[in-house]
Amino acid sequence: MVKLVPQSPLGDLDVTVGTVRLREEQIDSIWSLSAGTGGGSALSAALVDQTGLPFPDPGELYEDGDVSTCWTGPQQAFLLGAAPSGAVLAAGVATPQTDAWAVMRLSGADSADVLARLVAVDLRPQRLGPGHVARCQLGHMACILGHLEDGSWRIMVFRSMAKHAAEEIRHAMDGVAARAARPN
Amino acid sequence: MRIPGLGHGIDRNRKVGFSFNHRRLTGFGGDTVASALLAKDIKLVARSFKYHRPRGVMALGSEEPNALITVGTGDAAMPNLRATQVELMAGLKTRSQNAWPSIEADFLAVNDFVSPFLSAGFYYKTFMWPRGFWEKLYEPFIRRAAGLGKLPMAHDLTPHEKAFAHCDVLVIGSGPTGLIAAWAAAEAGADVILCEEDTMLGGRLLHENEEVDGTAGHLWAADMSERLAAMPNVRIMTRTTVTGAYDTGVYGALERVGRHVFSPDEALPMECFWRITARATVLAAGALERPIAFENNDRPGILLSAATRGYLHRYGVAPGSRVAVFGTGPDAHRTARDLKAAGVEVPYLVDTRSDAPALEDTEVISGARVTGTRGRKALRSITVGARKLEVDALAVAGGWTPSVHLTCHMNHRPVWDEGVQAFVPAEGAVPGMVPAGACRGVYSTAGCLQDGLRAASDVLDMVGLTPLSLALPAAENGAEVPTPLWHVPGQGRAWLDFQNDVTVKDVKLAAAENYASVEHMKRYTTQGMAPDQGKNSNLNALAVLAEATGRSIPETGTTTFRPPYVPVALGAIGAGARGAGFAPRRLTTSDPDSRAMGAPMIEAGLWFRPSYFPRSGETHWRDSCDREVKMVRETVGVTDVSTLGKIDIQGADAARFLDLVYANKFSTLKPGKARYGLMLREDGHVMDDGTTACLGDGHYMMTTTTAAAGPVMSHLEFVAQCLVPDWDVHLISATEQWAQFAVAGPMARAMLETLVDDAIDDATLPFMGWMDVTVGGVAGRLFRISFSGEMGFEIAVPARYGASLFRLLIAQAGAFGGGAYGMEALNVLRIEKGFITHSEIHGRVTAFDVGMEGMVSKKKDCIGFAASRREGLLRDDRERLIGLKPVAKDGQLLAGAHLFTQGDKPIRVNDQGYVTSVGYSPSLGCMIGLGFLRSGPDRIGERVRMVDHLRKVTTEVEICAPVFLDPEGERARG
Repeated sequence: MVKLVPQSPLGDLDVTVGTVRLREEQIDSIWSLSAGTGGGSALSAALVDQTGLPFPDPGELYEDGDVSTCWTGPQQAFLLGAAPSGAVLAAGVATPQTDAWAVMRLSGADSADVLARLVAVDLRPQRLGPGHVARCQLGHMACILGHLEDGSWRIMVFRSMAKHAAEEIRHAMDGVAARAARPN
Repeated sequence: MRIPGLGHGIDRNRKVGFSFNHRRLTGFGGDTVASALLAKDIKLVARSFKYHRPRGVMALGSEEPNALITVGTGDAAMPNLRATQVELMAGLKTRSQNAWPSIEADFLAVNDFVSPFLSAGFYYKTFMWPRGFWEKLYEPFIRRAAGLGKLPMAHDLTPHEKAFAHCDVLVIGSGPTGLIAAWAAAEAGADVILCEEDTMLGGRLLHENEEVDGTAGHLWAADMSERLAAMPNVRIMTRTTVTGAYDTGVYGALERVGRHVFSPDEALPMECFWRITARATVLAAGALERPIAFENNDRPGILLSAATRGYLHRYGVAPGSRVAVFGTGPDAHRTARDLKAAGVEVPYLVDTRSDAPALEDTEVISGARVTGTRGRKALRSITVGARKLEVDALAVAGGWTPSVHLTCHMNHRPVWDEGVQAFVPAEGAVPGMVPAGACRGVYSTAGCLQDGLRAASDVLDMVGLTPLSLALPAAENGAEVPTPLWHVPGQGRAWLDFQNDVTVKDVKLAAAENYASVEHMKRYTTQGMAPDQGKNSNLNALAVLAEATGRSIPETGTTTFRPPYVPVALGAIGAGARGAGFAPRRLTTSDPDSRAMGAPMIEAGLWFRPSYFPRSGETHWRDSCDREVKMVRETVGVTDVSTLGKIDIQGADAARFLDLVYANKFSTLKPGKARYGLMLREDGHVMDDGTTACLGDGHYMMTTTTAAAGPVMSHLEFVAQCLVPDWDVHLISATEQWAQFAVAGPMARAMLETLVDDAIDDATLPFMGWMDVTVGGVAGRLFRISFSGEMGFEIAVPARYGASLFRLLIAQAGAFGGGAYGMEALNVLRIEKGFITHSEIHGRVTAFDVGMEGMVSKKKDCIGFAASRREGLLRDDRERLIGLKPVAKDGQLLAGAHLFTQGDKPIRVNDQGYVTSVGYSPSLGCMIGLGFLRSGPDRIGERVRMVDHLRKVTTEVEICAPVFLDPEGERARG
C-alpha cells in the first residue's frame, strides 16, 4: 500500500547569521479554538483542565513545555502542540490548522532588530514582551508573531508564503549582521 | 588651508587618500569632502544648475546648496550628494557634476553670458510654439543643459533597508537643546530616540569656540553623548535625518548606514529608511544662517560665517588666507575674532550697523555693504562702495533662520516673530511635537539649554512621566538679533536661491509681472523648488517679494515645506520592493513538481499556477493545451486547485448565515452533500461563486474562487461581526490547511479507486456529494464536483501530504493514459461547459445577467436581494451571458473585443456587448467564447460582428447558448 510522505513547509530550515538564528519549528498539532454558545469561561476551564493553560485574552500567549495557547483574533485562539480534548471540543469550536501554517523561530541577541526590518509593531519589552502575541504583517504577509518566554520569537505565516517569508527574514538577518560587522 | 592646532573633529594621525575630479588628494579621518577640499584650497567645486556658474562650498551640512558631487563610478555612482556630508574614506572617488567637458572649462557656462535672456519665466514665454516643439526639441535640450548629476542608467543594485522603531520621546537634533532634552527625558524614565543628522552629537557646539559647564562645548557634548549612550533607555541614531512628520506621531528618517565605510559585505545597506513612531517629540532642529543677496555673491570662496567657524574649529580649516567678513551683527565679529585667533588674516569686517564696534588689527567698515565681487573661479576681491578690497575669501553673516520645516509637514504654516525677525513654528503645528531652542528663535546656548529642559518637561507630561529636577549647566547667554539685511540693492545679479539659480531680479520680475502671491512667485521663479527646498533662500526671497509688492513679510506669508527634509533615494524608500517586488509569492505544494515537469508558471493573484505541462514534440502552448483538454475529455487529468479559497464555517447559526450570504438556499443542504452557491454584494451584483459542502450539523466548508478568497473572507467577517453579531457563527480560513487536487475525466473514478481505501461508486458518492476517505494512509476528503463537465472529483489532504499526493496522482493518471493539466486547459474545459469565472463575474454583472436569476431565492432574504430586484437590473435588454462561435471555422475570437449588430458601424454608440473569455476547443474544432450581449439569450442563432479595435481583428460570429458541450450534464453525473 502506498504511503503519503509528509513534508514540512520549510524543509527543516535552520540558518544562523551573526547573532541571529532562524529555524523551522515543527509543531505537530495546531488547532483554532473559539468559544461556542457556552461562553468563553467554559472553554477556558476545559483548556486549563487539559493543558493547564487558559484561553488567552487579546495579545496573550501561554506556554507550558511544548504546549501553548495564543490569541489570534476576536474570540479566537490557537492551541499549539496538542489536539483539543473532547471536553474542549464540546465547549468550543475547533478547526485543524496544523498544515495551514509555517512556523519559524527567530532567536539571538539581535533578533528584535531583524524583526524591526519587517514588522511595524512595537517590539519593545514593555509592549510585546515574552508572553505576548500580535497579529501583524511581516513584510506584506499576514503573520502571527509571538514572543516566547525564552526571549525568542515565533513567527507564523501561511504555508504557501513560507519560502518568501524565510527569504525576507534571511535578507533582514544579512543586513543586520553586516551592520554589526561594519568597520568603524 | 589647514590651521595647526585646531580641528577637534579630525584625526591628524590618520591620513585618508581620495580623489576629486580624478585628482588624488589626502585629508584626515573625520574630514568631509568639503573640509578636505577647502583644506587644499580647492574652491571651485561645482557648476550651478541653470547658468553653470562656478561655485564653491558655502555651508556646513545638509543645507549646502552648491557643492553637490557624484560619489563612486560607473553603475554604482551616486549623484547629488552634498560634499559637506560625504565623509572621507580611503579610496573615495568623487567628482563635480553638471559641467562639460570639465569643471574648469564648462562649455555650458555660455548660459551665464546669455543670462539676460534666461530670466524667470523665460521658458514659459519663449517655448510656447510651435506646438509640437516643446516635447520633441525644447524640453530635451533644456533638460540636458540644466540639471544636477546624472543617474547611472543601470538598475540600482545598491542594498537599502527599511526599518521601524518606537519610543516614548523622539528628540530631533542634538545641539545643546536636543542633548539636554534627551537627557532630561531619559533621566525621567522615558524611552528615548535621539536622531542626529551629523556623524556625532553636539550640533553648533561642535562648530563654535565656547564653553558649556566650564568645559569646551564640543567636549561637553562628547560627555553627554557618553552619558546618554550608557543609558539603556536611550537609542542614539547618528547620521540620521528626520525627513518628515506624519499623523499619529510617525516620523520618517533616513539613516546613512554604509556610504561612509568600505565594507566587503555586500549585504550592508547603504541607507536605511526608518519609520519612527513616538508618543511625543522634541524638535531641536536648530537654525540655519542666511546669506545676504548682493551682486555676484555666489563666487567660490564666499561662505556663510557660521560655516566658516565650523570649518575652523571642527576641521582646522580656513577658507582662505585673507578673509573678509560681511554681516549684520555679532556673528560677523565672532567669525572675525575666531579667524584671527587662529592666525588667519582678517583685513576687513563690513558691518551693516553704523555703530559697529571696533576690532583690533581689522578695519571695521561700519554702516557699509558689500556691493560686488570679482574672481570668476575663486574670489579675488570684494567691492565696498567705491573701494575694491583684495581678499581670497568672504564670510557672510545674514542672521539666522529657524529650521521650522518639520512643523510644516502637517499643513501648518509658521508664524512671523517680530523679535527674531523670522518665521517660528506655529503652536501645536504637529500634535505631540514640542519645538525648542534655535528652531523657535532661541539662539543663546544658555537659552537653548533652558528651552530644552522646558520641552522635555512638556513631552514627559504627554507621556505621563514626571521630570526630575536637573541643574542647568552654565553656558553663554544673550544673543542679539540684529536688524536683518535681505539684499543689497544693485544692478547686477544677486543670488537668492543658489541651487536653482534664482536672483533678486527674478523675484522682482515675478512681482512686476503680477506673480505677486508668494506661491506664484515660487513657481514662476522656481525659488525654493530645488532639492534643498530653499533652506538658505526662502526668507530672503520673501523679503524681496514683500519689498517689491509694498507689503510686510508676514503679510506676504510663506510657502510651505514638504517631506522629505533632505533628498531620499528612491532605493531607500522602496527598500525590499526591488525586482519581483514585495508581493508575497504563494506557492502550492505541487509547485516544485510542476516546475520540474517544465510547466511555465503564471500568476493568479499572489499564487503561481502551472500554465500547461509541455511534452516532447510540443512546440507551442496550444499543442499542450489541446492535448490536455482532450486528455480530460477522454481519459483522466489532474490539476492543483488548492489555491481556491476554503472557509470553515461552524456554529448553531451557520446554516442561517449561509442563507444570508448566498443568494440560494443552503439551510436545506444535508451532511455529505455539496451545493453550488452564488454570492451577491449588497448592491445586488455578483460577488463570487463556489461550492459549499456540509461537513456535519452546523459545520460547512465554503469554497471561493482563487481571486476572491481574501475579499470573501473579509465580507463574511464583516457580516458576522457587524450585521449579525448575535449569531453563533465561527469563521476561519482553511485554504492553506488542505492541498486539493481536481481529478477529472471519464476514467477519474477508476483511477481514484486504485488510491483510496473506500468505495466511491455513484451510490456511495453521487454527484455533488462528499465523503471522508483514506488515501495513502492519510485521512482526506473526497468531493464529487466538476469544473470541467467530466466526471470530476476533488481530493483534499492536509497540506503536508500535498506534494506526495500530487506525485502519486500524476503517476496513477499516467497509467490510465492521463496526466497533469494546467490553467490553459482548465480554462478551455470550463468555457466549453459555460462555467463562469471572474472574467464573467467581473463586478458589473448580476445573477440575471449570467442567467442565474433562478438561483436568487425568493423564499428568503439574502445580502444583495433587495438591490437585485431593481427594475434596471432585470431588464431583458441588459448585456447578458451568451456563447460565441466564429461563422468561419478558422475565425479568431478575442477576449476584450466588442460586438456589433451586422450592418452597424463598429463605433461606441452601436456597441452591443463584449467578449469575456475565449479558447480553442479541440472538441468543437474551432474557437469558442463567452461574452455579454444586449438581450443576449433572445438572440441565439443571430450573427453579429466581433471587432477588436486595438488588435484590428473583425470576425463574424454566431450567438449560441453558453454551454457548448453536454448541455444535460450527463458526463459529470456519470
